[in-house]
Amino acid sequence: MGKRNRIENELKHKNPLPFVISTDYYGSLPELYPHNPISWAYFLYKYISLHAKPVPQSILPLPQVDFKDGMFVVEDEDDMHRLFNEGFFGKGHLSRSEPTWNSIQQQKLLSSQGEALMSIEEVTRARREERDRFKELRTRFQALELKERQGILTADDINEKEALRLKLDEFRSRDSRIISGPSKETELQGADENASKALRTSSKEYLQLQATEVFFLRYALHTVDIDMTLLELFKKCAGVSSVASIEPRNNFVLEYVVYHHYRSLGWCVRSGIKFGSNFLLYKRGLPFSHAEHAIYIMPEEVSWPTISALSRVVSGVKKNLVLVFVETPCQEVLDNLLHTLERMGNDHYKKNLSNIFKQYRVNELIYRRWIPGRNRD
Amino acid sequence: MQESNRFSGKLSKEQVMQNLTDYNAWSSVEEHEACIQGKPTVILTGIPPKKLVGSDQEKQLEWVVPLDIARGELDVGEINCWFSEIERISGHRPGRITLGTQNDDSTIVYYFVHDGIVKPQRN
Amino acid sequence: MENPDDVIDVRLDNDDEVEDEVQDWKILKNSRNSEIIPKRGEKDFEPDGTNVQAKLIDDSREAMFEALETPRGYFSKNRLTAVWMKDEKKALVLHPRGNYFKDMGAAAKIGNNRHGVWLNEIETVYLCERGSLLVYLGNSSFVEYLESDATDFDYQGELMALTLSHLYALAFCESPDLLDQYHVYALLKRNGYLIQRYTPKEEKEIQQSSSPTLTHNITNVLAKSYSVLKQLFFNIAPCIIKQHLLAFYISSRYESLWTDFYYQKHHILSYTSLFRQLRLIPSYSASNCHLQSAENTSPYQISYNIWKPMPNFSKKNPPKPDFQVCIVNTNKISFPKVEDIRCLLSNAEISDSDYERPGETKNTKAKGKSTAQTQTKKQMREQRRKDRFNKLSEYSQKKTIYLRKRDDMLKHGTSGKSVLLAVLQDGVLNFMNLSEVDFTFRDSSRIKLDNILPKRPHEIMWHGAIES
Repeated sequence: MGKRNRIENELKHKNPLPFVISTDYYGSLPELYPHNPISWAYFLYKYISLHAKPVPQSILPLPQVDFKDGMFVVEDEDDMHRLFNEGFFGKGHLSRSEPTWNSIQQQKLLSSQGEALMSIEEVTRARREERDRFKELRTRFQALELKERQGILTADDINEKEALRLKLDEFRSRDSRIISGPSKETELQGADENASKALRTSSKEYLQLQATEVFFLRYALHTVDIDMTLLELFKKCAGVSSVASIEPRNNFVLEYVVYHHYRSLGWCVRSGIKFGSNFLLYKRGLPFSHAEHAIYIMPEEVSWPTISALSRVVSGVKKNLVLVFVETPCQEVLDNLLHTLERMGNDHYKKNLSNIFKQYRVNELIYRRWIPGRNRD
Repeated sequence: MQESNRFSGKLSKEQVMQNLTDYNAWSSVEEHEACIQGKPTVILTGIPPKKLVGSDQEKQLEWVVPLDIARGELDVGEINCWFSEIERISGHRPGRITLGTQNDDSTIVYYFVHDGIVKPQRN
Repeated sequence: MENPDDVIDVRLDNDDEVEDEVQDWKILKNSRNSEIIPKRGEKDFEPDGTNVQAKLIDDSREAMFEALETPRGYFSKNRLTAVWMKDEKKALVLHPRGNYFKDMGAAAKIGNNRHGVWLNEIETVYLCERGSLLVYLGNSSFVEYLESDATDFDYQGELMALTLSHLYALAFCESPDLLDQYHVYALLKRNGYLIQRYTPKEEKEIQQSSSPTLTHNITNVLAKSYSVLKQLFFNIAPCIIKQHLLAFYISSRYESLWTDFYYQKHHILSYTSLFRQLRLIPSYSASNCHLQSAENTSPYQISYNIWKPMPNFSKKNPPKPDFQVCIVNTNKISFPKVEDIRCLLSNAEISDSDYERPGETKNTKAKGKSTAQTQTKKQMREQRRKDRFNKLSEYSQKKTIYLRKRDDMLKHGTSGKSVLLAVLQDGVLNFMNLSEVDFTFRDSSRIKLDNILPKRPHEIMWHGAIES
């Protein structure tokens, strides 16, 4: 990441959550100097006057989440970016993560020669193409090697082989992670055609939120609006039509408890589906560093092959595998709390849901392969 | 198949189709009615912008089965059903199917499912 | 605001980069006279129809036979003889010599002042298998000799020498678990580790540690408490007062974050405080938790203490083990439950050694020669990192150390407690490290971080640009 890029990202992702802090909105409180009584008085004055003002969260419009076709989606362009930029919630359904598809298509249409900015998706594509070129050269090189083994190598072949060897070495020594600038070849004809077609048919990207994300934003932060009560949202997420049928190891409840745990510790938590785990933990967020930890919620029974496969996949992408054991309340305790939740009504949903989540406990362990020959000295 | 007691989107077909056309730049993406183990379902076809594997033909038609991962486990019987359904629809049994698995964050992860053992791809 | 230039990220080498594949015996042949370990070549992907590949395999096989054919022997002066005693299920070595007994065997005193060493089943088989020990089967005449005052005994004339397979049968026939233990023991031993059977700790060990440098401790405490007081007055007091004001304000309204409409009524003054208030889910660490597990009924128990190779190891007074091993046969037991892990970890020693980054210290030197090209690149990067670090202000240096320490703790465990699982499946052995970690940084891990930068919200990974 270049320096300019980094500063841009610092500003873009300044807030760790899509939540407006009062001191950001009304200005920060003055410094307190222990020796100076005036500073105390001034602080108190500012403090009290701040509390006389309305809470920013209560006067600002909240991003709107809709439940459509079984998915939680955000369609307003500004809301999408707000939720993604501040805490990295959701995923653009036509992008790898950040919802950039709309703006990139627009740019492509506007610029006649397709000199658009290179999106992360295109960077990946370019890297794959480079890898393909490497493989092509390698195949040719090995064909010549075979000829050599068969003893039918001509003088021209020898020259070509030497040239190929040098090229391959150059490829290998290049740091494959760094790709310098966009290349013309990365412009895909098909994509452009599709882009113009898509815009004509007004195809539009939306931000899709996972159940855990929506629930956290609505229940824990109350920083989004959704057209249903908290109880309805809870049932929808848990995949039940009546709360009475929720079991202690309900998948959503387990995932939410773990999601909430790491969110409340300031981690950026994203889906771990690509690495066979439940979540990935990023220290600050996607553009700043790779995810460091892969979180796997332990099922009641886990087979050795499953856990070994997971461990190899996760360490293969240089992440730390954290096994999370969730201790659950017994059915009877849960049933009582669920009953209270339903009975006490709208104004107490949040409190009663909290009472349920508090019955769950998490226990973390690191699981990593250990090699005798590598730990000796 | 177990009834999975978890949140699940219903639209894996639409999302996979859109992902193929708008994100992966496939052309001629079409849907075909199919019936898998007594349940009506949809199988997609499309043409990728370039070969998915070196040994493929140019502009080769691909068969894609959209699948919501929240719905539970797969068994060999069901996978075999896809192959025979495609054979019924198109007249020949493909050597390979692409599985488009959809997660509730709109991530689509694609996997190849081969009809039997094949030589592994070279990395 | 955190300047990212101050924070130097070092990615760890990954253990899995080492391919654990079968050795090519030709390597042995070629490198017999040099210290350089040759690099492995690139693998062919598939048969190419020529006989080049077949020849390569043949050559390797040939090299293996050649290596194995080399006559193996020992100087008769160093011959080590043991007698397998059926009743004891142990082997008695009357004239121990050589380097093996640093961590093996137990002192034996028999009859009238006869001394020797008892080797248990596993140790006996290990030494016999590596060709270091000749084992005879004990009989009545040997027992008579032991009880007598005779000085010499004709092993060869009186006793039967055991073949390795006979010894295997004698040693392992009654308990199949012993064979599992042997696999683990032998592999670790061949890798140079020092090994002792684990015995649960006793009370007296705990008492020993308290006495030594009492006066030193007192002065330390005094010095520390002065700085703490100073800090308390000038730095912490204003913060606490600010927070208490807030707490008072909240409690006056008698509401917590977990009530409806909280956010419509209450000002949140920093992300740090928001995160703190969001904490809801209780968490605990495996070893010290509210539930005590059914200790000794668990099939997962520590079997071995192991140490990295060291010159002055004492069996009687061993230092803290470097690792502790629990043997798991996947054909017999499933992946441990949380209760089992809790029990395992509560018996584990706390390692107080700081995790060492590979390539940072002595390792660079040791590896230096073999992979010259990649190493110099690494060293250059290392040097640049050091240079940059030295240019930083004192606070930034501390912060860099702090952040690195915090990352390391989350990657390698926060409490220092860990256990190795030796996972055996039909003779295939893999080791897994299971370490206790606590993302909320409580107890000892909090103290460790406080020692570098005190009173920070260690557990909150990122709390926005504004520092609290």
